[in-house]
Amino acid sequence: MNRDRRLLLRASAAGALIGAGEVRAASDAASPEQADRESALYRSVLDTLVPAIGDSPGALAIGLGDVPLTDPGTGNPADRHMARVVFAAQRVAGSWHGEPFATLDLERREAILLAILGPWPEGRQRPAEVEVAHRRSLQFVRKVVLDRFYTHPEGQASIGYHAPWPGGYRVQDIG
Amino acid sequence: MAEAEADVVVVGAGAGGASVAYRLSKGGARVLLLERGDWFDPADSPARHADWERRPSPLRLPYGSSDPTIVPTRGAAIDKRHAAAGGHGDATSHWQYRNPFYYSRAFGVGGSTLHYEGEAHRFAPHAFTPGSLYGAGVDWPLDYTTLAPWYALAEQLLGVSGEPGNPFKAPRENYPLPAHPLSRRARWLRAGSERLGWSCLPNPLALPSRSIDGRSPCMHSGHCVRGCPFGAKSSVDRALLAPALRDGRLEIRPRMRAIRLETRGDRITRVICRQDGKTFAIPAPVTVLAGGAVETPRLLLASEDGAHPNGIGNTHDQLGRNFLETVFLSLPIEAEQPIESWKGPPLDVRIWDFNRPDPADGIHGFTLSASGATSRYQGPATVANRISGIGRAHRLAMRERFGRGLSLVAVTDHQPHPDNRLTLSSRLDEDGVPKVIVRSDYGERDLATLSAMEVRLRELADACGARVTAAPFSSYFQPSATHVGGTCRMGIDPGQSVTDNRGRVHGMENLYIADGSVLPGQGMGDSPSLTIQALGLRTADAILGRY
Repeated sequence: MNRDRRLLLRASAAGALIGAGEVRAASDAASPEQADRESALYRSVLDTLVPAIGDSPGALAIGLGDVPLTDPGTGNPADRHMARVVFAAQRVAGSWHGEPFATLDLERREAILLAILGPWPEGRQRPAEVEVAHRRSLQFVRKVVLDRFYTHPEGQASIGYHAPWPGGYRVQDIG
Repeated sequence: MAEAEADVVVVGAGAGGASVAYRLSKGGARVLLLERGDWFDPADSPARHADWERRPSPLRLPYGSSDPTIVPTRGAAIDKRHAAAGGHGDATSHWQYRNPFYYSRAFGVGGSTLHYEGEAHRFAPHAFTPGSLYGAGVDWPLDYTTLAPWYALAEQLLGVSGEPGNPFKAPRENYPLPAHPLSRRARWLRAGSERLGWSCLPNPLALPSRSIDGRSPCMHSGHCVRGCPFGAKSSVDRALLAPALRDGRLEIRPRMRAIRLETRGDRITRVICRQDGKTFAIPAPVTVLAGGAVETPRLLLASEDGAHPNGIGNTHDQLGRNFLETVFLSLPIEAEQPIESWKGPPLDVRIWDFNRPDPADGIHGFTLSASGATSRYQGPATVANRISGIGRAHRLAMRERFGRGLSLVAVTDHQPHPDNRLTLSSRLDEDGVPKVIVRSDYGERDLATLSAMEVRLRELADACGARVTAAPFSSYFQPSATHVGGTCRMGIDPGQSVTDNRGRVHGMENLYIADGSVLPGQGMGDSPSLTIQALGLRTADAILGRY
């Protein structure tokens, strides 16, 4: 994980306020335990967006947790958006379940990210710090992750799409 | 080959120019073929990569980039009486003007055949006489029977795969290659059309169903529009130019652009070109223009001189008039079961039942088809982003819905009108050539036909058991350049046309045109490529016979 991403995620995991493009608190000094927690949090978001189902691999299995996420259209890194998502997910997880997001089961994690995407579910408390900017960041991260997953051969195979490279489909010569 | 040795200079290496160059060089002429674009290497096709959706096409300008040819201008006012025809649903009420004309085309040796889907249609006999039959459009200065031998030759050279027996076309011999097995999408469409009593027939395709000339057969990837990733498609660079180059009489100059013609009286003397920032003059005993329905009239208009003050071949003010857009309407649908809509030749069947309507109906002929070959339906990532949600539900929805989406498409002719025309702008491009202004609108018959097409597409969707997923989209709102023509149309009367029926420009001794600009009509829903090629081969024979 590169330094910038570590800083952003650390700030998020620590509960620092990340508004529109602003990081107010971050420390580059982290214990191994803290680094593990940050990594688990990051990966849990990816795993929630595109989980494995049955024998079909999810985002983590094809390596999306091991590479920097970038916008495929612009090449811009998605770290700042990811940091906002992590922050919001942690806040909602704490508010709803009193537990870190990464320790929740998939069903609860999905419910949290769906709430951030909106509309907010009735009867559920919305933490004051979770704003429109977090929803937009989650929309961006969702797009980036779906793009990466479904342009990967294993992601494509999971929907029966077998692209024809490099040799093409087998076609019977009927001449 | 030195430039001075060329017998014929051909400008443009697309469907028409390549056909002319092939036939002339095979007939013994020394041919210099100029092409503004470069060679296309199948290895450069985005479709060679899993992430093809995110890779730019090497064949086209990126959307939103500045058009090097056309000055965007506001389109004609929308006729609200007909706004329901492909009117984007509720958006119609806010739409005041047609969008500016966007000239989507491929650059390169092979021209638009690099990104076409291989449809190789002979126009039906009645499509050559729309004026007599329908009182709409103009009759061609030649009939189907006259052109048939060159159709057959073009099919042979391209290795067209097809199945004879289309009752809506003239009787014919077998195709050079057998038809492809129908895709799952095509079989699904055929079942729906049969419930309506319509005929859904194999589409003749320049996508070889078996190996020819050392090329791979079509791999059914569905990626024709991105440049065939296997070099299988019979684009003219591979089917015509590569074999012609082996004889040594054809020279191709890629990245060389003709910017002006010089004349002496009724003869073209030199073609002035630009390449890599330098200007060249090429002596031209005979010149054939094949830059398409926009670039060819542009070059002729821009070549005005003392003897031709309104442009070459424009004595009767016909050059650039009667511009024909592509008139289409598409209906986005989703099948009720997976049909692998992304797979197979993109247009492997077509419905011709409405290609020849009753003259009393007041509408023009059209054809129907279905395509899944756009990233909107064909691209896994694009489809994924259009399905809402996340997590397991999203993954299951992708499994369930991917491969169901497609567009039903209807295509007809644009009715020629002299006020639909190209003119030169005062704005110049980077080579100092005036850009073009396009003024084009639809008439009553165009709009009535659009409405009729929408009715038929909805019937077809119902019969297929498909769900309509969005409002129809039509070229009335966003003008389309897929099959443009008419701007140098052929005819007998020089007062109503630009070339004769062999492509020679009226009033010019050694100037020919061999591209879509000579087409007086568009086949009532057929694709024009094979007709352009047949006419090009015929023009080449006329040149060989004359010199």
